[in-house]
Amino acid sequence: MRLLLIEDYLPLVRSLSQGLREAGYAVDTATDGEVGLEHAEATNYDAIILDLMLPKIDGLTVLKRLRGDHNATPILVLTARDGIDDRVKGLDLGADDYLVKPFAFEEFLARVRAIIRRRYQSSTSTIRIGDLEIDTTARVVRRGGTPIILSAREYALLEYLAARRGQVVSRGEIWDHVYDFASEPSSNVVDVYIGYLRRKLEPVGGPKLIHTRRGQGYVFGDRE
Amino acid sequence: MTRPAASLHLRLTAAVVGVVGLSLCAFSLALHTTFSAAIFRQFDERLAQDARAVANMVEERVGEPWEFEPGALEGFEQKDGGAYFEVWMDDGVLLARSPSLGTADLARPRSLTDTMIVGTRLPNGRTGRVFLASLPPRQDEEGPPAPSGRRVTVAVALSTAEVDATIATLRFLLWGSGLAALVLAALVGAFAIRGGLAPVGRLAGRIGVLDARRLSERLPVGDLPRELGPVVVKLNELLARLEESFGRERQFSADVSHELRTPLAGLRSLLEVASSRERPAPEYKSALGDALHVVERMSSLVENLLMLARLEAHQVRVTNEEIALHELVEESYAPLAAKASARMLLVENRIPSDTLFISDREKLRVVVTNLLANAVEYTAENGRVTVESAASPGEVLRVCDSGPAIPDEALERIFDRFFRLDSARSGTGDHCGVGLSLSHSRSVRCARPVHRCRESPRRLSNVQRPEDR
Repeated sequence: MRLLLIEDYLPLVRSLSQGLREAGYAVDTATDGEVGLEHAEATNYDAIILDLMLPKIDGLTVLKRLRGDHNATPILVLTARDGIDDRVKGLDLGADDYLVKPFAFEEFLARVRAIIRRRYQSSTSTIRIGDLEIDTTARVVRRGGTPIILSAREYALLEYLAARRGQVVSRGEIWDHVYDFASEPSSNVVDVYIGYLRRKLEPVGGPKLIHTRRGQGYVFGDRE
Repeated sequence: MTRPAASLHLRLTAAVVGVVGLSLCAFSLALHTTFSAAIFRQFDERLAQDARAVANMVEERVGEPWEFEPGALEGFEQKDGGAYFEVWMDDGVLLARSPSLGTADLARPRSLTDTMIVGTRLPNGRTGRVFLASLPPRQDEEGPPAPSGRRVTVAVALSTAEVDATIATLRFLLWGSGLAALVLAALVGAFAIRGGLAPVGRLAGRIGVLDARRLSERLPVGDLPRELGPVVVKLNELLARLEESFGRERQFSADVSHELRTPLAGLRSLLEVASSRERPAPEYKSALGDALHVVERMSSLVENLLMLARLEAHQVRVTNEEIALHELVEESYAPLAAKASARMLLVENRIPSDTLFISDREKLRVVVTNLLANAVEYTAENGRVTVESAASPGEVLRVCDSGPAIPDEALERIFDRFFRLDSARSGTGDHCGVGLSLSHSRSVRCARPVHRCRESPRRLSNVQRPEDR
């Protein structure tokens, strides 16, 4: 999953983006409202984390513009300001959730997961396909109870495919949702990682989970 | 009605009643006096006429006692009828008396120089008036050829019963109508006054509804009586000031919470993420270093806020000493040098090295540091900042920079706590907008308030000398 973090306080930007990347997300950052809006309009993120007090264009305005343009990306609003009014305003303008600083990082992660889940409309944090079990909270994958070790990138890819299961996902979409600006663009890195994933998830002779649709992309699921 | 309105009501009504009462009294008194005087004058005229008539009935005889010829004398016959007369010779010998007297006598004065009219008790017990005069007898052809010129003393007494009654009636009427008028005035006055004061009560009601949550409301001026107009206008101005003041307080409270919570959030996330997994030592070291930076920023913010609070509560003492200004400026600038060169600013200290100033060194340093820090932060890149000596009396030094200029509306507010020109925050620099406010507060103690003047394209900040006591 790919996230946009719009926050101007540098220590917070650094620690949050590091924590999120270590949790397997691709993270892009912006330190003012103008750049943040540009990124959000240009790229399809799985969630946006938005601070309200921003230079140039403030958070509520960014929120208003995104929703005004019918951008339905889930948004988690962060703020240090007092007051019910701010929270109500943020939620009414279209934010999906609200977190008051300072917060525990674990809670922050949980809320990010929750708004992404809602976007992909799954109500539980564990995805089961056949005997494959993906625990998105613990970021653990099991087959028949036995854990499967995946690298962070592999897990991120699997998580995205699973969230979109049953739908055709193009390479471009995979690229947008699993890699961030910091990644080196490469034409077949997606295919390579799909290969890695197949090797780990589909034992020889066992059911295929990742299906190729020639010319279109991939589909994740236990049916063709 | 609220208390104050009642006493005003009472006072006005009392005033009305008092004035009406006094006027009525004065009027009644005048009327009574004039009327009584007139009526008694008339009465006394009658007495005088009767006396002259009686005197005319006396005939002088030479060599014989004078004669008294009672002519047509009505009214004096009836005993105790209330009309009496007596006549004496000038030597005191009784000459005549009215039938009504019977055997009684009217008082006769020993000597009579002039006409006398006095109130008296009549022989029948009633009150009356007696006229006493020395009058000549009848003078006609039947008299002696050479009148002696002697006179007779005549006393005529008449009952004043009628007159008294008339006056009594008048008095009664005056009292009666006076009281009635007074009562009427009181009632009508009270009623009218209550009506007149009703707007005050209504205004009080409207004011009572206002509270801290509804400060944007203003009292309507249109339908008020002229006298209350100015009051309401001033009240509205007060409300505007209060609204502004409350607004600033709310803003300050919101800003403080943001300014304190943001570094705390950074600190927390920093430490939580760093400790979330095993890391190589250099990573921990770097995280701890970042954490320390944040703590330093919070520390200085907290110190500034405390100082601000203390200054505003007048708890800080000022200790004066001789300060070399040039050096102080250098000291204040030192921590900012790195940032200034990063922004390619040319900073000059043009204060002569021998300039001295007596003030509180520590606080003056903070003032100067804040001004310089602001200049370094907000002057456009590649600009210049110069610190100069005083250019006019009362100044201590000036910090001029090449801009951008502060807009006029902001000039007033730049010393507010946390105010920054970019309302969304102009940067995550080590400022949080408390600096200038602090300068302002401290300056009040060790120098006159700092003000910024705009001379496009340059901005100036002056540090002024304290007012002379």
